[in-house]
Amino acid sequence: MTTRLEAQARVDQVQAFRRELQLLESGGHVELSAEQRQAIEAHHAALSRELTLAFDVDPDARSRQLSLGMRIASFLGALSLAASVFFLFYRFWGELTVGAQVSVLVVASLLTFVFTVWLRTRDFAGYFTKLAAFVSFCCFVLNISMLGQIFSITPSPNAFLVWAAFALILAYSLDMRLLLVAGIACIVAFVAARCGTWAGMYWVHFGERPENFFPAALLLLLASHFIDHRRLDGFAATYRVFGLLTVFGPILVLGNWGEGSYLLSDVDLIEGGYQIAGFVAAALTIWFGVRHGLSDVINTGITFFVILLYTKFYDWWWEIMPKYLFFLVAGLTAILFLFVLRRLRGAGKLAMTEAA
Amino acid sequence: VTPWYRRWPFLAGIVLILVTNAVVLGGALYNRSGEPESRLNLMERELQVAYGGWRPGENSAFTLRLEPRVAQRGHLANRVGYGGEADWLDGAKLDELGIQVRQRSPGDELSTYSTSIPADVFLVLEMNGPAYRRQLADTCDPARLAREERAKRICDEETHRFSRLFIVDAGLDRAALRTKYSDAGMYAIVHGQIQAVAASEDGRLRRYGRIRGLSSEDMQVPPSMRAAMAAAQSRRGTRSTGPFEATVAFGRRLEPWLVRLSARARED
Repeated sequence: MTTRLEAQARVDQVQAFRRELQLLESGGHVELSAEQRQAIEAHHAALSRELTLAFDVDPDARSRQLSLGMRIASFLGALSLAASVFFLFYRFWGELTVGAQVSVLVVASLLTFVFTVWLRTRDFAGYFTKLAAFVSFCCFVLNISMLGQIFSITPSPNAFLVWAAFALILAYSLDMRLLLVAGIACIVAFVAARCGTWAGMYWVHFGERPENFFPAALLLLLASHFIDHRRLDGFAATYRVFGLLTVFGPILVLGNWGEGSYLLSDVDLIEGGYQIAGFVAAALTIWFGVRHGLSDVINTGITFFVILLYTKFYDWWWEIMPKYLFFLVAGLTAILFLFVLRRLRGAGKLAMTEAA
Repeated sequence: VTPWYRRWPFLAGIVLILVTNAVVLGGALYNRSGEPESRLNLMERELQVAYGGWRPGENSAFTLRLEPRVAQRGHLANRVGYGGEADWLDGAKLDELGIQVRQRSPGDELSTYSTSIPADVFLVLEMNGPAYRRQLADTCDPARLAREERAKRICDEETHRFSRLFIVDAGLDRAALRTKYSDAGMYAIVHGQIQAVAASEDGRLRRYGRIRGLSSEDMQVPPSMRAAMAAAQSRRGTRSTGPFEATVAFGRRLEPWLVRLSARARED
């Protein structure tokens, strides 16, 4: 066992075994002798103690709740400290000579990174390490963007590539999803900017043609499929969700703003095409998620299906319908959705029963 | 067990930080090496304070921004900005630059044309040259001064306050532009973006270009030049500065920097 994720799964398994054994005994299905019970409890207690010491896992539900609180505090702390570093530098950098500015920027990036990697060896649960890692990432972003300002350097999309690389190094080595998200955002920006450049556009304006985002979405979805993330908590799901967001976001925009498309056709035709594509893609996403048991994919698909549907409802009926009727239709649609999803859920259960 | 400082993430991160900084600093050094590509003498008329929305005291840096203008078709004067329709950026020029408005489908109405995506080109900045003199002569035309009430005030502004830095041309070949505009003390070549627009005029399609921006237009004022900006610093956030003159150099990568900055006596 080498990761905290595996250790936590093992401890959870022990907890589940204890609860199930309790039920079996109270139902009279099984009865362990005192020696057997003692041997199992001693083994589990030793195992839990060992894993808690080695990986700082949560041995029970109360500890798990506290861990959630610590994760939230760590996340908020990371954002706040990163913002503090950002504003601290802006507050004082004008007082420094150019040499001092450059030195402070480079040294801050290096020191915070070294500190983060060193802290990792002391803080196995990773709450403080994650906080330091986000500050380190912020320092590196500040480092490169401020050098650009100091020397009036022409902005380049390549900055997103190095920021992505740095964020991913930290995310993969520290099992940190917040930095994975930052890295993914930088990859999306870089790929979209490059696509815009290849289409003849100055890269800063890549958002003006939302189709620039589709290749990035494809890359993320392929990454979620082909990179083995079993040892990293939630990484595959993060790739999937952000890949889908990068598909559905531009579809949603183009479904309402056909002028932004690369396609040379009537604007209404482009918008209609993207609206249909959005519904088909959302339905396929839900089907794929159900088929492969991926709740994150199902939820993203459902969310966008509903957004697309409500956007159309607004286009069709907001002006012509009384408001009570409009919201009644929206509510009835939600109920219809619940019935459809219940059927899907039932089908899933049936498949599981048959498999059993 | 491998010690933490020998593990791949640590080494990769350190290498990434050092290499990225070396590339960025190397690029800046390359831009400023050798003789500058051009060198313009500007005043507070052409360099505005870029305060970027910071509240007083939050950003201690002091940044100046180039304020070029374009001579606009059918307009008397526009103090700053290049957002309007430049008189030289017509359909023929757009064809030369290869920037096209897109027709959504052949034979469609004019309204179905759209703007182009902003393309990167070389722009020519002209300081206190023929474009400014034409603008000044047009604005201060005696017949106009006699005819229009506000013309005298605008003529006065054009003479003493408005920017004399004009964007006068664009091209794709930097060397050809430099040959055409050989005076490096009056003309600077920079990177910028142009977007093509189609408009209906008397039922006919008319194409023109719009300048979307300069790639690099902000310059940090180093602490050594801050004394000259004391008047400006005391009025931060107003975009107004005391009188000063500055020399701005444009390097090999066409990125600008301040070479000299000194206070100047007020003209009035």
